[in-house]
Amino acid sequence: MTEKLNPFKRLRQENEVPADVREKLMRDISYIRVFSDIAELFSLKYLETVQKLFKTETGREAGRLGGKEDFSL
Amino acid sequence: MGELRIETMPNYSEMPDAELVEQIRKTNDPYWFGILYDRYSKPVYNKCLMFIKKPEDAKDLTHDIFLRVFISLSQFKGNALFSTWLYSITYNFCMSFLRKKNIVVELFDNHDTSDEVEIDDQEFLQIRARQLEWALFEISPEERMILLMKYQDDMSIKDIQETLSLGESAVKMRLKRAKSRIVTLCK
Repeated sequence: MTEKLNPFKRLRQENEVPADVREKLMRDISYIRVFSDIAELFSLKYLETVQKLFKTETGREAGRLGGKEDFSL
Repeated sequence: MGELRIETMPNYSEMPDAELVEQIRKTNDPYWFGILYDRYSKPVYNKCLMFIKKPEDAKDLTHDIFLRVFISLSQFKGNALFSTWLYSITYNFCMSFLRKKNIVVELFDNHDTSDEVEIDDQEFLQIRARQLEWALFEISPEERMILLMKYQDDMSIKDIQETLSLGESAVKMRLKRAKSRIVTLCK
C-alpha cells in the first residue's frame, strides 16, 4: 500500500513545533551535562577526598556530643 | 599572499539515525542531539496532538519526550529502527499523560473477539481519510494508538508487543477489535 493510498498516512499532520521547545530542551540538556560531569568528577577524581571529608565531619560531630566512643565497627 | 580558505561545516542532516545516535552517545554533545531533534520533533509533536488536543500540552510533552530520549539513549540497542523506539516512547508518554488526566479510564479489556470478523488490510485501508479521521476520535485512545502504530508508523507486531508489553495474540486481538470498531463506525 503506497503512502498516497493509505488513509492513515494521509492523516499525518504537519504542524510546526513552537520554537521555544527546542531552546528549553537544549538548555535542560546543558544542565544535565553539567550535573553529570560534576557527578563523574566527584566519583572518579575526588571520591577519596569526599569520603575523608565525611569521616572527619562524623568524627567532629561525635566529639562535639562529648562522646569519645569509637563508632567504627 | 596567502590563499583564503573557507571551510564549511559538513551537512549532517543526511547522516543515518544510527550514526547520529552513536555520535550523541560518544560525545554527549547537544549539537548532535539538535540534529536528531530537528529530524523528529515535528512527527513527535503531531503525534502528541493526535492524542492531546491542546497545543500547550503537546508542546510540553514533546519537550519531556526528547529529554527522556537524551537520558535513555544508552538503552537504545539498535535492534529496531530509532524512529520505532522514539515513537514507542511517544505513545507511552501520551497514554501516561491521558491516564494522569483521567481521560483514559478503561485499559484494554480482554473480552472475547471470536465473533468479530477479521477484516482484510486491503479492504480496511479503503476507508476515506476524512471518515477515518472522524472515526479515530470516536474510539478509545488505546485503540487509536495501536492502529497508528500499525498503519501509520509501520511498526511490526513484535515492535507493538514490546511497546505495549503484550503478547503476540493480545496485540493481534486488539488490532482486530480496533479495526472492527472503525469499520462499524464508517459504515
